[in-house]
Amino acid sequence: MSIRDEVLSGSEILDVRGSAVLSLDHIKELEGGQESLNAFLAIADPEELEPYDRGPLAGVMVALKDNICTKGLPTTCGSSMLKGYRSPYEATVVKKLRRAGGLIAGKTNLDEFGMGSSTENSAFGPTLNPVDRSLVPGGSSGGSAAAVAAGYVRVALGSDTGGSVRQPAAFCGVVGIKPTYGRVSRYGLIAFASSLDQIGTIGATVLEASLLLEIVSGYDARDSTSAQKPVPSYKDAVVEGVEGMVIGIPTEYFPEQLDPSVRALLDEACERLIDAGAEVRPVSLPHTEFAIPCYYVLATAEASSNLARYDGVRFGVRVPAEGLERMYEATRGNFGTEVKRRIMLGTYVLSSGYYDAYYGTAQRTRASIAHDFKAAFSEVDVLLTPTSPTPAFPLGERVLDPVAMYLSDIFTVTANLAGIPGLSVPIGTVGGLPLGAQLLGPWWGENHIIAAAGALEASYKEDT
Amino acid sequence: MSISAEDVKRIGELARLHLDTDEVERLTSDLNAILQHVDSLRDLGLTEPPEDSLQSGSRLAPDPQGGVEGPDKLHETPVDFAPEWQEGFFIVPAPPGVNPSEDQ
Repeated sequence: MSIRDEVLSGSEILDVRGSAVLSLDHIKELEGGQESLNAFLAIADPEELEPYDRGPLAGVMVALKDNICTKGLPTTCGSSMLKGYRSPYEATVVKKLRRAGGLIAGKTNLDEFGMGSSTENSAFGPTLNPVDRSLVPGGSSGGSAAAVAAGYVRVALGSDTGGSVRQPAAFCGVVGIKPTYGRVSRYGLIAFASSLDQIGTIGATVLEASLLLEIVSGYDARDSTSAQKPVPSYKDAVVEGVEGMVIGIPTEYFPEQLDPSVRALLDEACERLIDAGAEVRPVSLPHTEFAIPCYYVLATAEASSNLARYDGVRFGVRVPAEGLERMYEATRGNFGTEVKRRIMLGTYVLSSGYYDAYYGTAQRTRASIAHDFKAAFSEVDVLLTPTSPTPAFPLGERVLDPVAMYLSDIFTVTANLAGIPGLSVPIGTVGGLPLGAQLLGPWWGENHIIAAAGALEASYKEDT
Repeated sequence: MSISAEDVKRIGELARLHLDTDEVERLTSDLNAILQHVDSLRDLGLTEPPEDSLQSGSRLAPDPQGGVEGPDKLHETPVDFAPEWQEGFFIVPAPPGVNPSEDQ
C-alpha cells in the first residue's frame, strides 16, 4: 500500500499511529533497564499529562530535544552547566504542540549545547543507535532520532545548526526536516549559533515529520528572525508527486572518494524520481569544499559569544571559588571537552588581529555558498545529495579526532549557511545500516522537498 | 597559521576557561589541526562578497518579512510577555542556595 492510499487526514493518521505508541511507563521501563538507549534525559510523569481530545496531534506523544525550554521538565542541553535547570517559560514550539493536542513524552539526549555529530558529547552519557547499539545515532539530535527509530514515539523535535536533525535521522533510518531559517520560531531554543540554529522535526514517515513541521511553523513576534510567511499545507505536499519537477544533482556532493555503495543507492533514488515523472540534471555548487571550514569559523564564533552568559551569575550551576574571576573559571569548568574546544576556537577567530583573516573571510565565503544555491535554484526545483558520506559509525571512533568528526557534516552544513530547507529520507541500507538521501530546496520551498521525499518514500514502499 | 601553548593559555583567559597543563597541550594540538583545515578558506582569496549579495549569506534569501512591517516588540509592555509579573517586576525562581523567605 502506498502512502497516498493511507492518507485520509493528518489527525486520523496520527491517531492510528498514536494507538501503537508505547506508554510512558513502558518507555521508562525500557530506558531504565539494561537495554537502555539513553535516548531520554527526562520522561514525563504519566499522571501529570493533560490529555487533549482535539487537535491534529490529539493524544500523540512528542519527544523534545533537551535544548528546547519546557515547563514541568528540566532543560539541560546535555550539559553539567545546566544540570537540573528548569526554565520559567516555555518555547513557542512547545506551546504550539500543546495547543495542537500533543503530549510531551520527555526530553531527549543531545551533544552538549548541540555541539557534535554523534551524541557522544552529552554530559549524561552517549545515546546508542537502536539499529545497532555499537554505533552512534548521529547528532546532535541523536536522542530524538533514536526515540523515533526505536518506536518510543512517532515524532520528535530536534534542532539543526549544521545537520543535527538530518544526519541523525539518516543514521537511524527515519525522516528529518530542517526548515528555512525563520520558518519556525527559535523563542525558547537555547542558542548555540544564532544565525544557523533552526528547530526541525523528526518522524517515522515523511507525512508525520511534515505534519509536525506544519504545526510548529509560523510567525512569532517573540523571535525577531521569524518570518511573516504563510505556511502552506505540508501534509498535502506529501502526496503532490514530482511530475514535471526538475531535480539537480550537485557534482560536488558526489566526489570520487564517495563510497560506491552510497553512490549506488543515490543513483537508484534518482532513477525512482525519474520513474515518478521528475527530470534530473547535473548542477554545480562550486564553493561546497569550503563549507566545513566556513561553518566551523562562524558557528564557533557565535557559540563563544552565546555561551559567555554561563558564568554562574547569569546562568549556569555556580561553582564557588575565591574571588569573582576564579568563580567564573570554576563555573565554566562545567563545560565538556568539545564545548571548551569550540569556545576556544571561536574566541581565537574573533580576537584582535585574526578577525578578518578568519571571521571576515568566512562571512564572505558564506555569501558565496548562498549565491551558489541561488544560481542552482534558478535552474532546478530541488537538489538531491547524500545526507552523510557514510552510514552510522562506531561509538568512540571519532571522539579523539575533531576534524574527522566535523567532516561528518560535510553535506549538511551548506543548508544552514545559506538558510535553505533540507530533508533527509531513508533510501535503503549499506551493510545493513540505514542511509539517507538529502533533498535541498529554495528558501521557503519546504513543500518541494516534502513532495520529492513523499514520492521517494512511496516508491520504496511499493517494493515491500 | 599555527598557535602555541602560550596562545592557548591567553585565549583561555579571554574565554574565562581554566585550562590545566594537559588541556593546554591537547587544545594546542586540536586547534592547530582545525586551523590547518580552516586555512583553506584563505586559498579562496575572497576579498568581496558576490556582486548581488551583501555581507551576510542570508541576504540572498527573499525578504522573510515580505516587505511587511512586523509588530514592533518594543510596543509590547513587559506584562504581555513576562512569564510572571508583579508590581512592575519580573518574578523569577530564586537562585540556588537562596531562601526567598529570608529576603522578606
